[in-house]
Amino acid sequence: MSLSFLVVVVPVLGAACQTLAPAGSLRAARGCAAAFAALELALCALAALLFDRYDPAVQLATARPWIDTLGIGFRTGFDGVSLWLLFAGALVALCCVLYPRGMEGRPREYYFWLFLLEAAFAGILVSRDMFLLGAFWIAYAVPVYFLEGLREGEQDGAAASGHLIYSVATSALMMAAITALYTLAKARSFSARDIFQAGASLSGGAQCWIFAAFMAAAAARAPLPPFHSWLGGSLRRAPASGAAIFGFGAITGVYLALKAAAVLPGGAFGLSWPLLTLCAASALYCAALAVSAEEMQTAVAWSGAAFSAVLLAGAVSGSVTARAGAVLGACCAGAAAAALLLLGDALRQRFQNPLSARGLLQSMPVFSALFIVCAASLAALPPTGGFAGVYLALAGLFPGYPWHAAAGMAAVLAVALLAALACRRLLWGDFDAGLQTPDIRPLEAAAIVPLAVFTVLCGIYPKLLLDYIVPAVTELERLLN
Amino acid sequence: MRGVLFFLPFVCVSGALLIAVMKTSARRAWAAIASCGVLFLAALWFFKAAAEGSLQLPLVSGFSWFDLPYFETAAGIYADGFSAAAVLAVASCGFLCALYAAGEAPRRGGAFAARTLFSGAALGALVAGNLLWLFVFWQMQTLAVFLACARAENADGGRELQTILAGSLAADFALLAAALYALSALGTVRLAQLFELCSRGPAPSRELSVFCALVMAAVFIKSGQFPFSRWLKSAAERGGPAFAALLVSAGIFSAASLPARLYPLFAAAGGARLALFAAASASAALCAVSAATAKNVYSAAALAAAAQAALALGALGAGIYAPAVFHLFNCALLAALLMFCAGALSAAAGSPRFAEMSGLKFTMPVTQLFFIVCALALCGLPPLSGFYSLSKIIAVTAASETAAYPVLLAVAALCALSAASVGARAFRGNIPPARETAYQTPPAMHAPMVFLAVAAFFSGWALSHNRLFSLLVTPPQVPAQDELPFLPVVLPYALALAAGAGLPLYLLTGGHGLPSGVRRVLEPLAGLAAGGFGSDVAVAAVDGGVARGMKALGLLESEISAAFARGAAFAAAAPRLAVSAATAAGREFAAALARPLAALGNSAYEIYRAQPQTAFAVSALAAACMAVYAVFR
Repeated sequence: MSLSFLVVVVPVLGAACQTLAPAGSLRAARGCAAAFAALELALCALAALLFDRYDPAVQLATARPWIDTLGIGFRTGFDGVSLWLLFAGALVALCCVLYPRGMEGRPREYYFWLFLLEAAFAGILVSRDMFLLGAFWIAYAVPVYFLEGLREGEQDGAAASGHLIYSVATSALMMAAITALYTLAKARSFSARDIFQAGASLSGGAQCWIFAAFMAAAAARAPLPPFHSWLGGSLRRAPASGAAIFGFGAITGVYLALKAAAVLPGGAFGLSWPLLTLCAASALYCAALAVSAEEMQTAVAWSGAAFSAVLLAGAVSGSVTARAGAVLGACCAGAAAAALLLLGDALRQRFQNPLSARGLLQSMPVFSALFIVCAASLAALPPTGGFAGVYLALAGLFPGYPWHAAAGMAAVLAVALLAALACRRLLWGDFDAGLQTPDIRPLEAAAIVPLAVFTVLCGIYPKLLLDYIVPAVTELERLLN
Repeated sequence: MRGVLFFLPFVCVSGALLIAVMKTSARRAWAAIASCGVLFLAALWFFKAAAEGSLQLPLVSGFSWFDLPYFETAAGIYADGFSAAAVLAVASCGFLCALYAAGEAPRRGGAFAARTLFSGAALGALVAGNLLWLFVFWQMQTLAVFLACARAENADGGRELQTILAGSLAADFALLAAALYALSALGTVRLAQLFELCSRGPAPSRELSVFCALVMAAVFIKSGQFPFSRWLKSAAERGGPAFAALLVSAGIFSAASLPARLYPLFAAAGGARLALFAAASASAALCAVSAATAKNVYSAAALAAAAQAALALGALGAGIYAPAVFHLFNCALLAALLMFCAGALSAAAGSPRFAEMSGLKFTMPVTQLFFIVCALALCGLPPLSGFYSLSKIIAVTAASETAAYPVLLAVAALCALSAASVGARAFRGNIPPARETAYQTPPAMHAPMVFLAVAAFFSGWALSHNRLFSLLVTPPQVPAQDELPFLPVVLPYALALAAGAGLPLYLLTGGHGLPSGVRRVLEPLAGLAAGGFGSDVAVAAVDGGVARGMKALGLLESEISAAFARGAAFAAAAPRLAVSAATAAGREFAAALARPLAALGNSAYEIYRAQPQTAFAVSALAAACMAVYAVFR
């Protein structure tokens, strides 16, 4: 059993263990969850150690038959891109488990869905079978639906269903596209390699249609307008740690765009201009929504969406530099957004109205330091990983599409301005109101500090990730050519 | 010793971090110690390199930061003779500001960290080996400006901070755009490689011109040139005198010196130098007039410093390299002194407004002396330091026999006007202030002022006769320039100074006997200048537009869903209308065909109203089925 298979199985086992935990025992549920989340992260770290960074091929792979008659198999494996996205995801999941709130009195249920979400996330990243990828892609929406509904119960089911419906509908389009490619594959197999060959043999027009279907799924997950309306409400309503992990899942949109562009080079080329225009417009629109947002969770959500749009543009731009930057930026921005959502929740616990918080630099220095680091990463400011990723994405985008890159830069500028003004509003101000507030507790800090350290480390030494990412992205480029 | 220059900015950054976590009482002393240490290291490196004779040779070192197959960006330095001298000047400014701040009234602890960080960032910007690394240091400067200016306040203060951040960040991103353009069009962001590109042969002129235009935009915004001076004014007012001094000396200097560092590129790009000359001259004139009418001493000093920097940039654009760079060095030191005096006056008057400073000449004669020395030095009056650089600029321009000569002469006159008017207005009024106790500037604040005032007397002469300095500020790739002997240009120079510096002094005495025609010209000009030549109106319009845009955006989100609802209702109603039309026209067959469509539309509309997302999902599934059918078919 290879590591790529284990990283899917372990979260499923974690979810199963939650059903065995005694009802109402928070300690048992959390202990079990923390053990499995730590094991998942350890597996990812082990995979990174065993991975030959200079070999662009899929490694630590497994291939088991599943539905032989249709050529569907349980084919999994790591490449340099999926390895680090998965590592970042496992880190976010562990931090969310460690974070001491979010269960809303139903810890078993919460951890159960959280682990299923992690399993689906891992499945998307390690799948080397397109049917499996599609299945995990659809499965991902189900835990998100239940996590969103955990807090609001059954009173407002429509709010929680937004993401589910968009995801399922666009996933159906994606599955249709995969089925179309399958019918063209000579080997009658859903194996990624066969699907790649089938895609490359299609005419330009057909590739464009199929690529558009893939991109619809990616846009709904990222999310880009017009699929964006669920984002603000969902992240605000869901428990913070749940929101952090399914917010991180938005980076699978970037991953799918990257893969789809490799499968369908003609489609990526044919649709590059409208897609990049959509990404640039979305980045500007989401940044404007972030600036006008009145709640911290919503502002983080829209800032993350603007960031995703820039990275998505990098992923479909056709440049190795931009794609490497998109992956690096996705890892770091996802981690930073997750940390900011947790920090926002910590603030909400201390202030009835978080907007009234002032002077936290004096009363909550640890919170303030973490807030500044994470906000800087989401605003793509040096020396954080967010900056490294966005810079590479824009650098790759600029030669071919200077105006799109300029729009992306303007969006980043708006988010940076927002981050600075949010820092001023929260961290400076009337000290009397802030002095009474206790700083974040050790357990809260333990959940957020690793994310902040990860983003800063990626900014100061991006080579750590790029050594793995670049060969994988270059290999995709080679296949494309 | 090569590593010293690379790590010097990081010494400051680490110092700033340490100061930020220290006890408030210890921050003042440690900020001074850190800046002293940085100055010591800079001086040690400078003199050791000078003794070895390697100061003029470009020092290139660093390590790879982003390492991709077709794209490599190093975190490194490129330090030539100019950078070496500039590092020493900026480290000196940082030390003097820290010394001045030690005597300042207690401020927030974060201000010490902000100043130390700003010094480090300015040093880094002077030695950065590539444009990306330069962008990182500019962003650090922005962070320092933010830390120094963010504090508790009302909504107006929030808007002001927004303006400051928007200005500084816009400059950073303009530089990033220049870096990205250089990478895509010229193939590199490294300064050494960009210089090689120009020295190897005919450089791509169009690409270089665009690149230089982007750099120029970034420099103009960062150094607070017109029409971007608003953020600099606000930052100078909010950051306190020590930070303001650092901002107008080290900040403006490090930004304005970028075209000097990139001079070979500007020289190789067709038209870039001319554009720099025109834009900088216009900016110098407008900033100078704005400074002369500013109501706040910090704003006036910041604008006067920006005007002097613009004059140097204009001279650089006219091709007068060495005197322009010399003037930049002079401006850096004199701007710091101007701001130190402004801080002392503001503390004494209890307000930075000129209107509140009446009669301070009676209580602060020493500060008045420093202020007058500084203002006259900025005017370019002999034998003060400004004279040596300014007269050199005029003499070389006169020898060039181009239109730059009268333009720079007029600009010099306006800059003199601004400097003299700041000095004159700060000490006007004959009525002693009705204050119970006269404010005494602490000795710690006096020390840097004394040092700089003495330097204003001797530094110009000393530096203009120092061979090492002349070598440092004249790189080998810049050809030697002819200059006229000073005597033929002394008359126009003296006239320009008299017109510039004399007018505010004349007005100060009451302006009796000023012809009414002249008054009629001056009054509207003063009114225009007070409003920043319309830039205030433009900024207010942009602010209002942004606020309205944000409001509209919120409405747009709700309008989109309403529009969808209306569209759906219309789509549902259309078949019904068709049925009615067909029935009215007696087309029963057509009506029979349209009837099921109308029913279908009606049902779809009902589903949409009840659950819009479900309707979307159904539509998407239908589209998917059609796609599958199309492919299989």
